[in-house]
Amino acid sequence: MDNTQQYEIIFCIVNYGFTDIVMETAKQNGARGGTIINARGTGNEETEKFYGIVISPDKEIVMIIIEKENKDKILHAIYETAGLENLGQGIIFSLPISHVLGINKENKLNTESKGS
Amino acid sequence: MKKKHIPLPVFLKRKQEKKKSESTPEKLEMMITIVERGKSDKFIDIFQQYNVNVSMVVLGKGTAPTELLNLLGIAEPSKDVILSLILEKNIIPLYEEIQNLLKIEGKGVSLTIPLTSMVGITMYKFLSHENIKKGEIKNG
Repeated sequence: MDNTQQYEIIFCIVNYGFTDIVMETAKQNGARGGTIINARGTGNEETEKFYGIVISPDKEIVMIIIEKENKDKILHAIYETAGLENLGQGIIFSLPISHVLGINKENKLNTESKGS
Repeated sequence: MKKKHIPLPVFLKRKQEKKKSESTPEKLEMMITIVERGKSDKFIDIFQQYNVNVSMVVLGKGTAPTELLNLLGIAEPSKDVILSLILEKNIIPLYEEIQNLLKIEGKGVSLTIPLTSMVGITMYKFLSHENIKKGEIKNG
């Protein structure tokens, strides 16, 4: 158990099918694993009709627990690969965590040790 | 010239914190627990002992940590994501009880995120499982 507030959680809302890209870039920058949830987006229908654009409502949310030191690096990297300007149309933000359970510090660099 | 900031002695700080907590309602935090698919019932049963009245289960999937798992075809292990609201004071006792179960039931993670605001007194009462006078919440 940890309550030293050295971890943060990244939420990343991307179009369906772009989670692989998000996880790849996150792992390259020091994250270990993530969890994916399916979700449905809601947009402004009137503006969509006006411009004749279809924004696909199928979304996926990726949750990644990271150490605070890596936060900026990971957020910027994900924005470049799957951010709003790319096809992934990702919205990325991080929240502070006050308590964590189930993360083993010793195997920080050993990526085989931790999934989920 | 700015005055140097002198930190309060430790015992005074504690007094201040105590006064504050008396007037404001106790804080709720959002707890996210990620466990293996189908194991969420076990955890929710334990949560209820610690006055967690509402928990929601979302189906999720883990991401493969290794190339080996990809080869074996078990690259995306399915998970249950439990979202629940819990009082701050109950977190540590709950975690002490869960700790072993998380290890036994495979790779599991639990974390809490502090809430900044909330609307509705009856909702707060329901979620915190405690009877509170109406006046106290207005002050907070």
